[in-house]
Amino acid sequence: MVSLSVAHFISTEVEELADQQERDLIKDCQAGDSQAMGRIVHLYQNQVYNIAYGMLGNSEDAQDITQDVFLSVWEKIGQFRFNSRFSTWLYRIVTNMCINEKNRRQRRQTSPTEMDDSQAWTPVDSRTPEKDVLLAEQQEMVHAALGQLKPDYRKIVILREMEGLSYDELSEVLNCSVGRVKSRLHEARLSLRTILKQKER
Amino acid sequence: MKHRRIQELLSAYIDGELSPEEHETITMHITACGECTEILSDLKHNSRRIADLRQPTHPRIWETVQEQIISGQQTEDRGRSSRVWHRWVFRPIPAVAGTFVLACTVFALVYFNPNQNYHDDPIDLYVAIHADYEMHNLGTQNPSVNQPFEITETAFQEETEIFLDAHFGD
Repeated sequence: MVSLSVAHFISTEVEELADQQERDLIKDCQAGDSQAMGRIVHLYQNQVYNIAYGMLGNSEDAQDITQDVFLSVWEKIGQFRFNSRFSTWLYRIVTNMCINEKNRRQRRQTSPTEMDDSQAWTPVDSRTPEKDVLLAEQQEMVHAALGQLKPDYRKIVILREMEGLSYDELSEVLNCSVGRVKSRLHEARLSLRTILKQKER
Repeated sequence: MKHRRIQELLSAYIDGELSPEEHETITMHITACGECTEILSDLKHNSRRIADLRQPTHPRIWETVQEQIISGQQTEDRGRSSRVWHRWVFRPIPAVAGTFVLACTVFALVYFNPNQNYHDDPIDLYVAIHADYEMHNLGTQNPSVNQPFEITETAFQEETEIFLDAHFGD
């Protein structure tokens, strides 16, 4: 029992230290220190990339969006007022930019012939040659299923499953109550389950 | 708790976001309900499949971003001086105020200019002669009014002829 309390105390201390370091980095960025921005990029690049990859289903587009997100962060970091967690602010930027990019691509692709969401979703995995073909096919199917989800559902599923955001964090990023997160996430998962079952048949 | 309500809480159950009482209730229900067990199993499996999509990004992403930041700053430095003017010109309140002050200055210079010679313009000359003539005639009809100019009718006619020759003659 005592060891558990000590472990909890140490982990809390470590978290506080990390928060303080992140806060200092953000302040340095706001003062125009690009090296501090470099450290923030290294801290968050995988999270940002994976959200973008999940949302867009294409590694090249995800790479481009990741760069755009960090450029946007560099330009807007002066507007960050420490009213929320930095990660929450960052995830909002990523998801909004991905949705905008997806809408832009769909507008371009749906004329002159209409395409549905699953057709616009063309996953490209640069690692495919090195992977088991079956696994690659499975991943392609999951990507395609994600692409058929409504944008709101896709966003909440990716933030939860790929980044492991808690319900509190999801409610901050999505700007809704925890109760709403609970119901929306469940609806999204059931919807994904239905799509995947159809694909597996 | 009803079966339907329990199904709605299955996601929160997987994520450990339920109260201990709710968690216990659902655990008890699942042991006896095949449908809920199947849904729960599918939801867990799909969660793992999505998590498996994770992959590391390009390791040199910061270098690319840094290049764009530096090139953006260079462009920004070049455009900074022009942006100062741009800000002032396109800010509505200073623009309207500046235009108003400029208009007032121009009007004041034109209207109150003491060196203005209205005889430069033939129309002004014509009107001035008429005004002087009328004032003279008025002065003769009313002795109490001073007569500032000694303009005779002959002089007026001469001036009028000069004016008409200048503008309507051959």
